[in-house]
Amino acid sequence: MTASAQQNVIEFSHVSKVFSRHQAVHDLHFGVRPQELVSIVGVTGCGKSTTFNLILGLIPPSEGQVRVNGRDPHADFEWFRRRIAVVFQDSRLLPWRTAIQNVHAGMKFAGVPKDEWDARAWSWLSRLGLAGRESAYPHELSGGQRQRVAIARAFAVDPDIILCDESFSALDEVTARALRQEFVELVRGNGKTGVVITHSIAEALAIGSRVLVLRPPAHIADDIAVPADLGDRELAALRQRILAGMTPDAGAGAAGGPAGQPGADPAGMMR
Amino acid sequence: MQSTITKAPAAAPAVAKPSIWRRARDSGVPVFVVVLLAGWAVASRFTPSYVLPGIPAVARQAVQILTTGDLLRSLLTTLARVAAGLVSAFIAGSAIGMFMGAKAGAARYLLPPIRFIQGIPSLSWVIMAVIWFQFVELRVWFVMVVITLPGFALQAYDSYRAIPADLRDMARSFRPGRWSLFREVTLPAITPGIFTAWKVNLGLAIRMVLIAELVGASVGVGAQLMSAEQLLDMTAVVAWTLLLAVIMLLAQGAIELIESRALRYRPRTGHPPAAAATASAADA
Repeated sequence: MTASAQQNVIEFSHVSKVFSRHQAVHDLHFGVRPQELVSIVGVTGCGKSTTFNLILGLIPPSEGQVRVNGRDPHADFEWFRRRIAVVFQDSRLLPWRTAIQNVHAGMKFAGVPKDEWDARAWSWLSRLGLAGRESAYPHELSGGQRQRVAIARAFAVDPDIILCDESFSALDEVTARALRQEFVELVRGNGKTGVVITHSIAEALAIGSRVLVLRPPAHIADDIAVPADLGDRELAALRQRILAGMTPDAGAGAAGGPAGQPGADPAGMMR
Repeated sequence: MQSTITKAPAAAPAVAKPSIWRRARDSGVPVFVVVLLAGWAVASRFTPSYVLPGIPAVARQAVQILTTGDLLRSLLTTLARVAAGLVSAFIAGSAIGMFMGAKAGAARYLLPPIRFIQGIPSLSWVIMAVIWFQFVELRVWFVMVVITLPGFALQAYDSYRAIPADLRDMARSFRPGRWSLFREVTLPAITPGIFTAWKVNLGLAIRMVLIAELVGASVGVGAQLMSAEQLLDMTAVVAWTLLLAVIMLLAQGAIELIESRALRYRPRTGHPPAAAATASAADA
């Protein structure tokens, strides 16, 4: 392992994953540095969720090596308690628990001492604009509020790494934009490492300081650093480059620069 | 890292819940009772008392049952038998159901015998219990358990299988211990099914305990009914029957009350909470 690889919080070394006869991941090789916020973008079915589950340690790789904090997340599953937290596409709140009880439940699962639950839950719910809604059950909250509770639940555990799986894609654009911004501020402001998996190019660019473009079966088609201040022309060029990387037919031109028809967005991925 | 919050934010405004009396009124029970008593009063005027005794006679008999030591002991014995059988079946059935839900291999081997047991007529179990067991209480307990256990087991199994995989994955992503996973996800998820099983099995148990006592016991409501039948005492038959029916209705009401408390998180059908209607505005 190289010195730079050792510094990575998340390290995929030539990872492949095969389910029966279906290859979901093929020779996936990338690293995520501490406190980096990385977007992983790809078309539906390209192996994003499998990659996500490999990072989480829910499944083992068929070949290669996955390391998170230098350990195997599947073999050392319990070790990652309180070190990784997830915000899913849908909020996945427990319907029988109120907003604050859902935040408590995350801490209970993760083994946070009970005397810290209330202070942490109040704090995160307040930061996410849910003060006064702590006693509401999930069905009494809007979609955006539910997702805020899910974000509070993840951050309340105080993990080193936050993973997002299409966490904002089910929301309307106004709510999604506001939540994305809050999420980025929370990750950067609290020194967390973040990995956001999405099929939306706009979301990938809005969140990540780096965008990894996946192509099926999941492998890196492009690895793009996103400058802090982008002009419209640079942004459009990056979008085209990512779109070209995501599209299997685009071929070898993907990593080199813009490809495909300008302005084409066959899957609505520019949204 | 977290900021300290010294003052807890105000709780969300509570949604007004109807009182027990209002719910009883809305349930239609008062109308049913009035119609029943009126019909009974009219019918008993035109029929001999050995066919349908009058309300005052039955009421006197019911009071006598509740105030006479031996008769009250019969009633309490029957209720204790029902409770013992149901609680045993609930504990064993729920455990078996959850075990089948958690282990697919267990379901493969346990479901066929449970369905087989469920398919055997209740009266056959009563007769077999009389032949197999000499001890009366064991007979009745066995009949209660064998008849109600499949319902608890199958409800717990179905409820366990219906737990959304998304919720399990969410919980698993936090690396929970087994107990916290059971306490926070599994138990609340199967609770509605368990309440349904209780409501169904309560009526079944009260019906079957009488048959078991008629055939295999000398103490209990079943035995008292057998005695009344031999004396052609229709007043006693109606009084015992009504007492049991009222007790069952009260028990059903108690279960529904506990259920509504335990499942208060569920939105009321047809009446979406006011909070939900305004919640979406908060996103913008």
